[in-house]
Parts: sequence; C-alpha cells; structure tokens
Amino acid sequence: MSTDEILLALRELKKGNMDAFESFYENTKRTTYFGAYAILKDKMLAEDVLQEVYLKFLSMVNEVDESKSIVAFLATMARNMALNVYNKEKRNVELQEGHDDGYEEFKLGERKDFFDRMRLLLNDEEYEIVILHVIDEMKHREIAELLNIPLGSVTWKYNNAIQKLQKGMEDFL
Amino acid sequence: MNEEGLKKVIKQEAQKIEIRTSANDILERYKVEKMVKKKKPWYLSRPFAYGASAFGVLAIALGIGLGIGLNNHASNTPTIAPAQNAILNQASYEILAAVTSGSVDDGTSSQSMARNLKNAFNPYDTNDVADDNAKLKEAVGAFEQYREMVFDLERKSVSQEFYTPIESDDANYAYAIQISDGLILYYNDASFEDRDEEEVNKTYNASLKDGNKTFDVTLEKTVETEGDEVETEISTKIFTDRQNYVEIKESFEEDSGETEQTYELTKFVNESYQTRIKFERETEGRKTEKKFEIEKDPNYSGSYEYKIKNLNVDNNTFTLNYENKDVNYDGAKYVFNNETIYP
Repeated sequence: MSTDEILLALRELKKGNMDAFESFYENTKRTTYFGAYAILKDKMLAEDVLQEVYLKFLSMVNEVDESKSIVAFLATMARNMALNVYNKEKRNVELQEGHDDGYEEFKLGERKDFFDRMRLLLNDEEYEIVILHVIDEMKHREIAELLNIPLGSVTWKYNNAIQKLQKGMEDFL
Repeated sequence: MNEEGLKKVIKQEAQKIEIRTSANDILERYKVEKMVKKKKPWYLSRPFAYGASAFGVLAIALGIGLGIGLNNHASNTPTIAPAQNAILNQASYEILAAVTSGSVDDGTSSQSMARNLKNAFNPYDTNDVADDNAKLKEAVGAFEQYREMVFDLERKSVSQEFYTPIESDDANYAYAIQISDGLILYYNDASFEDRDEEEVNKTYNASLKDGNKTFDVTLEKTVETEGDEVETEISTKIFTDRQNYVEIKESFEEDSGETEQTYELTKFVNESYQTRIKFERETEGRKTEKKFEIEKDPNYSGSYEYKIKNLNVDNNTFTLNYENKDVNYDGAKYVFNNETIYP
C-alpha cells in the first residue's frame, strides 16, 4: 500500500475528481474491510459495512484531515459502523432465539478458514488488535486511541496474541 | 515461526479474501443515494409549525434546482435563477406543506386537509350531474381560491429576493443562500460529473440549516441534448434520515418553441411514499395548459379526478367534467387541469 498514492487520490477526490476513487479504494479497501470484519466476523456483513464506510467517506471527503492517518480514519469509521451492525444483529438474534448468547453461537458455527481459526484462538480484543496492527497497519499508539485503552495494554495484548497464534496456527504456517 | 513471519502469513491470508464490492459499485450507489445523518424527521419534531419552514425548504430546493437546471450556466456552480417558474410551484409547495404538516404518526391533519380539499371539490353526491348550473357554479367557486392562489403567485414572479446569496460561514461549503431568518442552504460545486455525447449528469451535495437543525440535501441534474430538443431533469432530496425525506423531481423540455415543465414532490416516510404532488405546465405557441395533481395513498387502486377547463380567465366560465369511481377519503386523488387559450 502506498501512503502517497492514497493522499494523492484523496486530494483529487476533494477537487471533485471521482476518477481518483478507484485508486483510493483499491489502496484502502482491505484495511477497511478488516476493520469491519474484526468486529463482525462475517464476510457479507463486513462487505455491507465496507460500502457504507466509503459512501460516508465520499459524502464528507472535504472534511477529512490529511495530516492524520487516512487508514486509521477509515478503520475507525468501519469499526464504529460494524459495532452498530453487530449490536443490531445481536438484538435480532436475541429476539429470535430468546437468549443472550445466540449471536455468538450463530457465528461460531461458520468458522473454518484461517481467520476463523484466529478468531477461536484469540479473545475479541486480541483479535481486533492483531487485525488493526498487522492488516490495517495501525501503530500501537493509534490502536490505543481507537480502542480507548492504555498503550501498554495494547502492546501486552498484542504480544500475548502473537504467542497464542504461533502455537495454535502451526498447521497454517 | 517468528513474529515477522507470522505477520507475513496473516497479510497473505488477508489478500486471499475476495472483496466483491468494486469501486464502481460504490460510486454508482453514491450517485443515487448519498449517506445521510440520522436525525429526527423535521415533520415529526415540529409537526404543525413547520408549514412555513417546509415551504421554505422545498422552495429553496426548487430554487437551486432551477438555478442549476433551467439557466444552463456554464460554470459548475448552482446559481439562483429568476424564478418565474418556481413561483408556480410555490402553490404546490404551500399545499404540500399543508398536507405534510400533519403528524406522520396518525396522519390526522393530513387526512383532514385531504377531506377538506375533497369536500371543496365534491360538494355533491357522486350521482349529481355536471350540467346542473347552480351546482357547477358552486363547484367552480370552490376551485376559485386555489386558482387565485396559483395566479397570484404567478403574478409575483419576481422572487429573486426570496433567495439571497450570502457568504458561506461553513468551512465545508463554498456557497450559501439565505432563505429566511435562520434558514440557510449551503452547497458546493458539483461533486460528481458524468458526461457523454448527449447527456451530462452532475451531483451536488448541500446542507440545509434551520436554526440548530441540519438536513442533508442532494441534487442530481441531468441534461440531455438531442438536436434542438433539450431535456433537463433535476432530482432534489431533503433528508431527515435515509428512510425519511422529501424528493422533488423537476423536468424541463424544450423543442422547437414548445416547452413542457413538470414538478413532482413526494414525501417518503420509511422509504414508502405517502404524498405526491405533481404540477405540469405545457406551452405551445400561445396556448398554456396546466395540470395540478395531489395523490395520497399509492396503494389505493381506484381513481378519482376532476378536470376543469378554463376557456376565459376573465370570467368564471368553467367547463367541469368529472369522473368519480369508488373512493375513500384517504385514497383520494385530485387533478386540477386548467387550460388557458388566449384570444
């Protein structure tokens, strides 16, 4: 991913040149997708959120602060929207099934691939920190701000997660 | 495997995930459906007092629409047109404001308005005959107030002061228009432009501020040129949230001196249309035909309409033809057709 390319595309978008969107999207979509996937653990829902993030982004492109990480900005939007979707989905499942952990059970049944395995090995916070740091390339400091937890906790949980993955993902590595 | 190796594998696995949404998918959606903030619908927050503001909201959207669409400015900036045509719409807007000003929850006021309108135009039993002079006169009298309203507004067509360009005090928008005290429309140059040989499509983002309330506004303008024929279409949406908004569709078609102009205003509640008002004006030489339509309850399968022809505007000689099928108040549809032929 090229930060320069992203910034250049952003500036073109601010000028109203929508041709720049393809470059911008291709350079950022994966990080945004995983920002949502880290919360939702569901590919279809993550794609829905992905679309909503970029629609929102385009509608407010002139307000985007170029001095800050665009990727972190998108990841934050994705996370917040994903949390809304998560809570809504969870409520729906609770209503349908009549108990609190229905959503978790409903989702766990589908975990089969690499990221599903990761999800089983790590707790929610560890999983999100790994996704944000490794795929979204966010710094620990940025993650601490995003998750509103101390920097030391991010570093500790990240290291803990890496150890778990090194042991639990051997057959994938 | 060390940490760096593990990170590399995770990244590789992430690359394998197929993201089906393309940039074009998003742009297509962006063109037709802008993301809007979730707010309480204005017609719920100020149910009845909003009549005047709703009028302003709609009128300014029309104003900018006309500015963009009918004046064909070379620049990308929407400017305010002399609103001769807009003023005709004010009648539509006033009625729309009245119809939509009732509580959405129970629809009482809207229904009451609909009943009053219906009664005004239907003072007789459906079995009465149209050629009964006394009844016809009474029916024409009931229509007169609406006809006068339209004509009066038409006479006051110099409405430039209604839209006053001011300097934008919102960093997010380059331009602003003061509509009335506390009601300002902010907007930018076209945010999206798509063109081919015959068609130019532009999208504008705007924001309407009414005191502390803000409404997202989107405008989409399409100009199609084919020989001497030019057709302009403008769609304006004023959102309270994604499910609740007012949409104004305008079109203006000109071909060899003939013009056809339509305005269609639709209120959507929970993405379903509740009220639709349509105004058409067609000019051919010295003949002008106007048609005004209010429609409620799109699920109503029956039809109900009046057609009124005014052959001389200087007296109240109307020919009234009407057809009346199975009707209930909530599903009523009103069509006022006013045709003027100059001597």
